[in-house]
Amino acid sequence: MHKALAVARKEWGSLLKERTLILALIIQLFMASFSSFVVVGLTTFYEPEAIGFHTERVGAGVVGNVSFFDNYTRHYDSLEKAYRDFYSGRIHAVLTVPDTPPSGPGVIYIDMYLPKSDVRGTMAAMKLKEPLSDFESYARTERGLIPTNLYVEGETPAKISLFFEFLYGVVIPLLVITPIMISGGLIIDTISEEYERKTVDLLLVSPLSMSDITNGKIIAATLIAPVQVGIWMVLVSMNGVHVYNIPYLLWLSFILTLLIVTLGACVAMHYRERASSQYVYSQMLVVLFLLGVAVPDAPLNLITKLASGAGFEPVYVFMPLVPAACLYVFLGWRYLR
Amino acid sequence: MRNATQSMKLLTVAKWELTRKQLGLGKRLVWVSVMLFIITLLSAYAVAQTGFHMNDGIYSVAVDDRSIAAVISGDPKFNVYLGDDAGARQAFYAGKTDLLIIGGVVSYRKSQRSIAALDALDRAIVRYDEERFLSQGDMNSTYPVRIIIHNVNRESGFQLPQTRPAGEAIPTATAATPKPAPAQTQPGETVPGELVRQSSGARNPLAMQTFTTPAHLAPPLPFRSVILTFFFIFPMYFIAQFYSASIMEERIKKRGELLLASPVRPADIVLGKMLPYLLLIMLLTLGITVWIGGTVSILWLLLPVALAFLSTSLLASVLARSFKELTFVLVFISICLSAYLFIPAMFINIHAVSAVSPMALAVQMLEGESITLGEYMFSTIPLYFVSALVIVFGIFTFNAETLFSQKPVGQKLVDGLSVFMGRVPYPLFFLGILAIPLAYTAQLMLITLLFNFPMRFAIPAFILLAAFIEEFLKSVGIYTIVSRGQKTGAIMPGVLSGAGFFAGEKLILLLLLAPIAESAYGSVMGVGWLLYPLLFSLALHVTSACVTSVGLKYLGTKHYLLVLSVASMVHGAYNYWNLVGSGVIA
Repeated sequence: MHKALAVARKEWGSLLKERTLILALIIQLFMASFSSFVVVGLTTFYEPEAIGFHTERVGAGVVGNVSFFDNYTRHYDSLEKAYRDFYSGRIHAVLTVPDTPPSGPGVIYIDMYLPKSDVRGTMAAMKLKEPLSDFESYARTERGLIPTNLYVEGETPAKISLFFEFLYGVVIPLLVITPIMISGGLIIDTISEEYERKTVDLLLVSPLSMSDITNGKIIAATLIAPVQVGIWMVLVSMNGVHVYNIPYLLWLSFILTLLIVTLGACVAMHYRERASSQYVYSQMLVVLFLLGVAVPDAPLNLITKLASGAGFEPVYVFMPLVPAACLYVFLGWRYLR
Repeated sequence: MRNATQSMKLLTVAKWELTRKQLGLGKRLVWVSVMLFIITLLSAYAVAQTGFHMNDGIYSVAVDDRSIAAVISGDPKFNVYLGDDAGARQAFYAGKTDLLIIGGVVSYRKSQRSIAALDALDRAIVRYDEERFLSQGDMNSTYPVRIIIHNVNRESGFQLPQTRPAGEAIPTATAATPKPAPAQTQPGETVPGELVRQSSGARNPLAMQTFTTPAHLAPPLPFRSVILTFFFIFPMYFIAQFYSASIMEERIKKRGELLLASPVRPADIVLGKMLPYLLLIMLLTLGITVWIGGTVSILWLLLPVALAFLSTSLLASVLARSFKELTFVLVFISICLSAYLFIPAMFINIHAVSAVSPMALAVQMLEGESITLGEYMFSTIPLYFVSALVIVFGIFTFNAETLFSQKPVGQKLVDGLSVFMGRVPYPLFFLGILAIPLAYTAQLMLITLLFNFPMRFAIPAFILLAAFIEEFLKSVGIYTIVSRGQKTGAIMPGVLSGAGFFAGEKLILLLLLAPIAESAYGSVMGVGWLLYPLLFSLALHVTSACVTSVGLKYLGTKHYLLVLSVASMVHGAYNYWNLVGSGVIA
């Protein structure tokens, strides 16, 4: 075992000396700042007050007599007057509401004028969504369709579900999965390099056995992933995103890395050539990723639940141990004798 | 002047590259690959059928009413706990669920999860109601209010327009007897069809909404340009990997020695190897463009991006010492390039800085707008220049000494530079000019990164970091000379380097930076030659470069960083003083 650790230490040493670790850290910095970028972008659309953007500055104008819009828009008598203010930048959206009676039977067509390529127009339109929806509900009720009514206790808070789901459903799983994929590629590189440079025979002459060498490489590639995941979770937390269940996340990333790294080791040992191994490995990753996205309780969904603090079955966190162990045994039996 | 024989050599190398790859993959590998591909297609089909389950079970609700539970259970994002009054309350207050619904009243907690769950519940109910109404009533009752969105031109670059742009007619009030074009033709068919398509969410994510109902009103995703970019970039990244692997193999297997000994020139080898991959990328890109229904002229925007990927892969594979190092360097470079392409594109509806990225212009073209030649040049010339520089550099380093040695990356860069300087007259002057696209690219990336931060902090940070970038690039030639131990004066290298940088800067900025000229960032980048005399700018560059050359000559290369820092502070101080003097900064 300590021989395997010696090999692992040598791998880590070469990672540090080749400054590849610094590169990996810079990569992570980029990803973290990119995610903060995304958060700012989404927040601007869905919760502008949160970042101090006063939405009074993105006013809208309405032409027509519908009381639903009174608190949200300036009223204009004619489209020309509204347009003048629109072009001078005082308002950023214009609605024209016709006199069609809400109780029907005709359809009420509302024209909305928005500026191209201007975020203020988008924000003005999103502000109008609520009165427009209220107007639609009213019209529906007048026509005999009663919506399901659930009353909220207290004031209605901001609408952040899309932003929440994007962050925990896409960004965080991506941040966790990327080091795992990198570790898989890493083990393929180190193993196939030994074969291609013909240093395998040299290593075998030393007191190291093939399984020591392989174990060492697996340990090296596996342990760096949870470290990176940990760093990312810290960076993301510093950006104001609360990540729950960090110990479980680290464990899950460890066990998933072990699985992927063992898979990569099998592939590399089979082909003993870098290009083919990387190619087959990438294809396998695509399949695994697709399955991970489609099946509920799969690792990606599990990461989402863990990080966002939703309920989860602890047994699923330990499930990847099974395929990992099987692959490991397979690796030893098929390639290391 | 290339004659037919020399061009033939390049094409021969290209042909070898193609045939080599086919022999490289064994037959069994092809079968495995085909099998995996079939499995991929099947999985993709399964995903398309079942949908994405990434956010399943992310929220939880405690309810006491069976019918409400049935409504919410329709949305897989929710875990529903059905219990009696006391049981539901206990589940909620114990923290097991995010929301509580008793007697039709929803209670929530002041946590981010709970607030998000409330909004998601709202959306789920809206969706449920819509389906319920569609099955009960007719279209006009379900969708009594319909919105026609008109996206009109209202220019907002870095400045607000004061007057209405000429030629933009106000739609007359008579148009307010509204019969929108889609409904006019077949009122019974096209309208419901389009609405149903929109309500199922299957609309083209890249198109902007023109016809919708209040519930489906949505902002144009700022990420549609990111998604698009990803579509195009992914094959480039993938193929560039093969290219760099091919070059790396020449080095590792020392087969490259034979190739170098042949009458084929390094330029032919590098370009000949690149050609099939470039063609492959452009073919794939053409396929994707046709598939999403865009115009073929988008390829002109993607060509510099492909060249940037391939040239940086070349650089990485020439400099790396092992496949492991190569992988990391490639990932790092891809991230930098992707950031350069993605980040400005996210500002596509917000700020003119989005024009920095060719992908933003590609999105514009996909939306049916045309782009001007000026915009094209603005976004692509930096990439073309940097690619050309890197390729030339790669050719210079494609010799036996660099390829087969294990020197560190910095060392190899300096070696390549000295080769370049040996072949060019007045090398420091031209190095100064050539540094411009690199400085420009780096500074543009810096702008987009710093855009995130408040101006108070971002502007001084940008001044200092931009100065550092420029000083660093001006100094590489001087560093090379000093580290070789060649005899040189103390002042002259600085003068030449600074003058070259100044010349290149004014030349290129004259052509390109009109859109950014008036902004605060533009002034710092030195465009504002209308703000202070040219001579002053020349003096600035020469002075700071001389600080570097004097420092390097007398202190040696050991104190490189120190010398650079001093030079950047001098440079930064000049810039800051000017900005204060011209009133841009208070």
